[in-house]
Amino acid sequence: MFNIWYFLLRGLQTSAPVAYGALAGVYSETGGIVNIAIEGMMLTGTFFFVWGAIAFKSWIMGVLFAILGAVLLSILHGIATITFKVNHVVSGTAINLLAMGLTRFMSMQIFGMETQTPVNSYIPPRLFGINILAYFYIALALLTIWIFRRTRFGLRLRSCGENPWGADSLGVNVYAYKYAGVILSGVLAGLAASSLYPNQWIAEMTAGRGYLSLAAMIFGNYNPLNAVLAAMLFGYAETLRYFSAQIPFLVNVPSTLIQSFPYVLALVVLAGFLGKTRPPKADGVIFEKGED
Amino acid sequence: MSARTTAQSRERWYRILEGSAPVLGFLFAMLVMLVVVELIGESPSRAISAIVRFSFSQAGIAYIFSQAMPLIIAGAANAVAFQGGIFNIGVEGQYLFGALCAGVAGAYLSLPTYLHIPVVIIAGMLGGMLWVLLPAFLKVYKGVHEVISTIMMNQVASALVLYLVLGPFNGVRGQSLNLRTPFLKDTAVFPSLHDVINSITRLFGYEFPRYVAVDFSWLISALVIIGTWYLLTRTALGLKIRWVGQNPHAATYAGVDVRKTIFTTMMISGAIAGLVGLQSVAYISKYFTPNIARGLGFTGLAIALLARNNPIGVVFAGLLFSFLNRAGYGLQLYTRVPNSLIGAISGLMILSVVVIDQLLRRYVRNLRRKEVGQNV
Repeated sequence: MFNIWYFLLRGLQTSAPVAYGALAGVYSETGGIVNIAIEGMMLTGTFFFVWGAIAFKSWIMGVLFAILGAVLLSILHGIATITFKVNHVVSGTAINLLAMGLTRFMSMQIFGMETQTPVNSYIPPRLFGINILAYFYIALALLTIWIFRRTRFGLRLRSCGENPWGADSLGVNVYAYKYAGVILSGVLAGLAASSLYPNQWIAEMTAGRGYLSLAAMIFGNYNPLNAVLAAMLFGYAETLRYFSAQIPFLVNVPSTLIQSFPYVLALVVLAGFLGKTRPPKADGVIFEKGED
Repeated sequence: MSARTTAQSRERWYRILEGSAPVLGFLFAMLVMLVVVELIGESPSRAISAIVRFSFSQAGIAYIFSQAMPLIIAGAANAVAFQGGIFNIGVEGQYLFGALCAGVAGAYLSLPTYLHIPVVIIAGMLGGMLWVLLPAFLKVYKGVHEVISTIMMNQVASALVLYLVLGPFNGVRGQSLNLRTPFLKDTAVFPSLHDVINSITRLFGYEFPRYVAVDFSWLISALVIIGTWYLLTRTALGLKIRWVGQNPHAATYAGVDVRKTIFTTMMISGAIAGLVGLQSVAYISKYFTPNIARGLGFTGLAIALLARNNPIGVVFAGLLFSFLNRAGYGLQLYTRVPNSLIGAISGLMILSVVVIDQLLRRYVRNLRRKEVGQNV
């Protein structure tokens, strides 16, 4: 019997990493820094979560560690793109490569196993059977909208993504705001990691969710709430997989194909989205103070 | 006269400075690696000797060259795209699907050898092109960034090849862990080039062992490199590609059809990407399996970056990455350093190359400005 209540909860949980990841993308790109490195940050976060949780026997330490790991990489991304003015996609790709090797290496050094860690029993508490972190991303999206529209920080961050030269001429410390955007992106990637699968770390367990987050962000047209809703669309599409045996029109579809459903959906959505997306004007643009 | 020669030698010095980022980045990354080796309680000198012993033996050299071939092709696919201002992160999915197409063409068609091998190669290229078609359309007509769409295509490719090999193209009867397509017909299998290559290398006192793949894909790699070099430097299309890559607005004013050029660039890149898996499919295993080596597309991206998208540079960068892979196994085998360290170090290497590149460029630019200031 198909239990709609269970399906809704399960989807909320499955959407969580992509939703937090999409918010991570929004913070970074609002400040004008393209962040493909979210995949790597999330992956590093998942390892750091398990490491922190096991080492301190506390899930809160796990979350803090996940944030720490992701933020360290985000700072690296910031140093490369903001201070050293490296192409954002190049830096992001390199960081993803780095994260893949680094997590395996650390797992080997700390737990003696390269592709997985021992099972972690210090997981975030469950509410109605799902990770408690899965209940906060919609509120966080609303909070983000408020920050972007109503606070001095948010307005300045946006100005740095839209027109850094203008912001600079008005005395905004553009570099500092861009760093803030990227670091907040790291914090959210850490939350994304904590909500994925806190029970164990497995090599490459993010499996493209960081990239899917960026697709959600674009689909949501860089608006925090819409990005989260897009992430939920993908998340619920993925959830169908667990319920395919109970849904009449999905029973005969092979599970390998259902697996790719969120990605196909993302492509269809992108294809149908007639060039309406509008990234921040100076997104991905290298800003150098005093140069135009 | 003497003023001119100093200006010339200064200019040459600037060029060398600007071009030295890959070497410096590599050295920096190696230095970091040795520090990490020291930190985890292994001796750096043992690590170096393990790498040298494992990489520069007869078998080591042979494997480095042989396994560089797919990397070189993947690097070329990325380099062409980069030159046209495209980030083809989808090489990964394109070669996966291309390899499946090649495997299917090799197993199910019955043709004479002189036709079958070209058909297998073309099937690979078409598979790669097919897999970049949608992102190319989305890029040109809908303005969807190719990084996002090609990454989605990678995920879909993974699932689709698994589905196809489990279902219609399953080559294993009954239950088996070794999921694969049927074996290629003998007519489709790549010939070995051991005799040809060894007749040359024997002059230098070296011979490739029989158990290392020295096959038709070596020729394909060479043709890909020569072809991309010729395309980019000697043809009108190549010029357009580079213009669009450098400045699409200026290219528009110069009368270039930017959309068409972007589309063509992506198709060429996809076609090259479709060749990456051929060595594995048509020579080494003689079937396609979803367990084919993954990640070559991303390594190809790194290779293109390291080579600054120069096709000739791609050869050296490809060999370097092949060497790094081998070095990783050497470390794993002879020391307590895990293989994965090399993976992390290659990521770091790309970062340090691009950062050092930026620093050197800025440094040289400042030197040039000073020079102009003095002359005025």
